[in-house]
Amino acid sequence: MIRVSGLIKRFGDLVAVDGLDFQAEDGRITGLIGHNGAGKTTTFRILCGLLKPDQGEGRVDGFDVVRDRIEAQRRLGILPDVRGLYPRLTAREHIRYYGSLHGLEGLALESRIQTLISRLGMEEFADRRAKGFSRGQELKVALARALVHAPSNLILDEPTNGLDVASTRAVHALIREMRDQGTAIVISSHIMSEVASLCDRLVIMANGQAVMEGSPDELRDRTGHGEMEDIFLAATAGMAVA
Amino acid sequence: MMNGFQPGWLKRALIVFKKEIRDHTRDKRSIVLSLVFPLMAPVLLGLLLSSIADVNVDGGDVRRVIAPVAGADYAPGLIRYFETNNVAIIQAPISREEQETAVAERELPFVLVIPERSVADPFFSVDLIVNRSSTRSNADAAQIMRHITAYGRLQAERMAVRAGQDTRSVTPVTVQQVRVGRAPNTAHLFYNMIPALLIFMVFMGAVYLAIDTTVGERERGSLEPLLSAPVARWELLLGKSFAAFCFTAVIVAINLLAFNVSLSWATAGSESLAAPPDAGTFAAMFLIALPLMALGVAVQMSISSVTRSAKEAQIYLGLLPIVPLIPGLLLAFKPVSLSLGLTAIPIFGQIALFGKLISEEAVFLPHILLVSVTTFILSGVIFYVASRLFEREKLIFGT
Repeated sequence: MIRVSGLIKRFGDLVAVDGLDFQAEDGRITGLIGHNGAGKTTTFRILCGLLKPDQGEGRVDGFDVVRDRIEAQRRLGILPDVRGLYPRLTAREHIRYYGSLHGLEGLALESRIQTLISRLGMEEFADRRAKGFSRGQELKVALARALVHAPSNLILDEPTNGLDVASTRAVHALIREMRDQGTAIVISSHIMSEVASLCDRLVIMANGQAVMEGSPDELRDRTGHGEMEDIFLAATAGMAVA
Repeated sequence: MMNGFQPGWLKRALIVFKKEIRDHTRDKRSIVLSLVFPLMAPVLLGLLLSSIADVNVDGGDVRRVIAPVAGADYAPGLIRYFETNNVAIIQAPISREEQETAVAERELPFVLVIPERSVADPFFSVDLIVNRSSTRSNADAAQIMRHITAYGRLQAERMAVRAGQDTRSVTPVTVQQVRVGRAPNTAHLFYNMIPALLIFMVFMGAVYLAIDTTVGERERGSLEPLLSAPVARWELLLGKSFAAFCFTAVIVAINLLAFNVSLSWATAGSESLAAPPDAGTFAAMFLIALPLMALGVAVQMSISSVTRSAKEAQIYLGLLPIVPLIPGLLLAFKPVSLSLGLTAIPIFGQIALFGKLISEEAVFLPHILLVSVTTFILSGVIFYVASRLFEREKLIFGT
């Protein structure tokens, strides 16, 4: 479970996150949506242990992301928006590297790598170097890298960005499968239809704050709009857009 | 969550190390640089040394000189003396203008002009036309001058004998040199440059890898996922530093091997140049340089961790070797006597030890151990600073 309480993060005069509270329950998919600059990436970076909050706290399975950073990171899988692959490593080597960093080794690691390669349809390029990969291939490698240690919590930033329809469906199925296995999943996406169909709960962010929160049906009832785009625009009406 | 083991810090650092080695040995640019970069100075030094291999400017020995002479018939005694002292006589141009032109245009190293005179007259003067801008001309002329002086003294002694005087009256004061240390030789000037060039290689060898594994990771976008892995920042940095250290060690080894080969080639068959340091000397230099490599890597990692871009890191790290080169250059041209305290100073101590090895002077193990310990301690302190810098939030933004 991921819990964020009273989170504040400033960069000089800019308040990137301004008292954010939300909770991502185990076995549920929580969507974090907002305009560019709403504070989603900063929140993710705090949860990943990359930034320290000025106030408030983030917890992963009860571990504080600042004080118990390593323990929190062990329980977290991260798919960043910038996939960040090494051009001279193969897809398989990427997954193996991160599996090793998470303490996996030997047959358990190799078996897990093979499972992910099969599950994400990476057989064709698993042993090719990452230089020249399509965006979809890059995303699959980054996703496999995030999942290699079968984390109990997942943060997915734009998880299907650049994927074709079939791959998008496969990733959606994988996310649902992990949800059903009890993983707490936080997703950030600009694809509103994806958010609506995947997420059990939504947190709409603006100016570093959660301006509306609830299940998609609850948000529909509250705003009187049926489409997710309309709900989002209604929730963020009058808020600054970066 | 899968039940992974909890590897120790060294194991995690080695995971990063292995990845960096695999990654960078696949990089053609890294490999070409690793092979070509350390060869440049040895090849250049070897070629320079080779070009003067037959030129003796030290006066330390006697070798065959070809002497263009005009008016040889006017000093048959001198010519005979030349011929018995390994000097070959050739006919020089007759006119002074042609003589000076030939020397100025380096067609002839010098011209010895013996003016028309009576052979019976023991007193005479000769002209020596020399091109002062030519090393070879000066060297050959210096040797001819020594022969003429020696011939003059011989003649003076003969005249003294004929006059019934003691031959010592010709040279009432004589000097007997007691020589200690290495005989001076032009080649030593080149050999004394090796420590400074080696320091340059130590501090530049793995610069590309240091940049690519730190600021390069940020620019590629791979730093964020890496820092999100459950590994302490200093462990990540240690693994990257191990890789940079290995690259540096390989490059320095290639550099020293190249010096050994190129200098041996350049001086092979030369009668005038001193023999270069042997393989054992270069091996000792490599071992003494190991702590310096750790220091170089620690400094590279510190600088790479605070720069905003790879380009900025390249600028700073390109300037880095200048600082440690300063004591090296000073010692190359103005050697100082070493106290134990001076030897303990990192970089300075190693350069001094390199100089001693090159000069074939005794090097004491306590000196080596002392400077190695102080250098490793300094490397540890700088690595600690680098690891603190690696903890900064600014690391992921580059601002």
